[in-house]
Amino acid sequence: MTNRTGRPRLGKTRTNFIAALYDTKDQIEELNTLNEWIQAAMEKLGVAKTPAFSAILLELIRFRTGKQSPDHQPANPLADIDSIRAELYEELRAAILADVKAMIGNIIQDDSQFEAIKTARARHAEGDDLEPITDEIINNMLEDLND
Amino acid sequence: MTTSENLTTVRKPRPIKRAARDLMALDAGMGRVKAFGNYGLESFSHALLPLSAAQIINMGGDGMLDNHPSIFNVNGKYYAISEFAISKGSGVVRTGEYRYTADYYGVLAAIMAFLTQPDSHNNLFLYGGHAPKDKIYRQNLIDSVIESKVGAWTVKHRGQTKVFSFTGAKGYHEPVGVYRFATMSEDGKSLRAGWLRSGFTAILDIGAFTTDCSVAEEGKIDYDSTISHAYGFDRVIDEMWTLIKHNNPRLKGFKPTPESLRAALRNPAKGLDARGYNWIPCVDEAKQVLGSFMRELSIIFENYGGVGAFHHLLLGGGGSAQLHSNIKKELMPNGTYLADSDVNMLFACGVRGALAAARALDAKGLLDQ
Repeated sequence: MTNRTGRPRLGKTRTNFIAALYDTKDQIEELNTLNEWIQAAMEKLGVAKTPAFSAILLELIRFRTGKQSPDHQPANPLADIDSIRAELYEELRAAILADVKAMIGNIIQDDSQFEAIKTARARHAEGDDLEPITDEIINNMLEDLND
Repeated sequence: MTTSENLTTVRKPRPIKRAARDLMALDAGMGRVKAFGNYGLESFSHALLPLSAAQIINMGGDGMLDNHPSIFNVNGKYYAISEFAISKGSGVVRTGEYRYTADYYGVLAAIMAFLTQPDSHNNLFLYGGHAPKDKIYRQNLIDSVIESKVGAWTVKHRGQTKVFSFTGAKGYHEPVGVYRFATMSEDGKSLRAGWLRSGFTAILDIGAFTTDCSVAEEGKIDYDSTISHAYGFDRVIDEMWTLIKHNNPRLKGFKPTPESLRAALRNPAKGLDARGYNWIPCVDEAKQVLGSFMRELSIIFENYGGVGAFHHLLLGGGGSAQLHSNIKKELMPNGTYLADSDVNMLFACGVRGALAAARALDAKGLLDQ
């Protein structure tokens, strides 16, 4: 699977390249399962699939399988797809958290601050059970006007 | 009846046909002016400069001013606002009784009405915020805008002319707005955050020039405990710039914008964007000024009773957007909350809460009491 210059053919898209890393039919099935699993993981984490995540996926598969190209035959191919999934999930989660933190990084410097905001948000969501305004509160507001 | 008799008959003036009343909450904060109405939020840096005849000529005359994004014509006089006014030399922010006058507070209210209302309106109600120490000037605040005292406001800006009449006005304590925002729905129809309405809550509204405090007990504000301290977040910025200048003599002649200093404080490791002088890291300077500000806040909080006296500490105002983690760590590790989960909108939570309260009172016909 090389192109005219003898270099490994990368395929039209990254997905094709990833597919090309798998030789057997079983492995391609596994890849499909893995893709489905990634989609589900993305949905679970509440993020869209972006090129950045595809790149992470590609690098991880290269690293885990030991294959640098479709024709490359690594000495110790790693076949444990479950461990790849578990680690991939953690990598994705870390990448997403890093992205979120980078977005608000100007304000939030460390994890403790991040936690503080999360707590406030959670408390807000918790307290959003609406109740009718009582006369007591109305009278209290009137005090403000006439204070 | 002859024609001459007809002409001499005194006709009764026609009653003005009023539109349905619209509410506008205004917080003419010394750092930022904010207004919130049915059509959304508007804000600009607090600076108002009446333009002199010489300045008008220098800027190219009336024709140029009419199209300037930061210049408004209010009742025939030109005013510059925001950063443009600062660049033209308006550094003075009025305080006390000089603040609540028609040519200052009234003009700010008229400009904000122009920005928040899609069209002319002859039945606006202003709910104006003031620092607790300015409670004695409430009547001045009302008199500076209301139609019966100052008439209607004609505002021209970029080819548009709108006319406004404030038929009613009231004042409110600024920190109270923060609490209302956290505990009421924005439409003013319901209460929310039941957990925050139980027990004692200390409220800190950290603004640019003042820090206002109040206490709520079981959802009700104790207005007697509402106080102001003339110590705001802009002093932190000023002090940090003084230290940076002292530690970097080569910056002589450079003048940073307040926004670049705020950014430096948010991320001192990255430092101050000193343009031609590159980036100046300011970790030590930031630590020093924040430490000093936190000590002041600790004293204020301790005078209030400290951590043992409250179940919650509620933070609002633009300053708390930058200080909330320090406050949480040093004043009340458990029970410190931001009024708004969006830290970038904390500066406006007071004015938004005030409008919610005004809506609740208006719905019950109590706003004019």
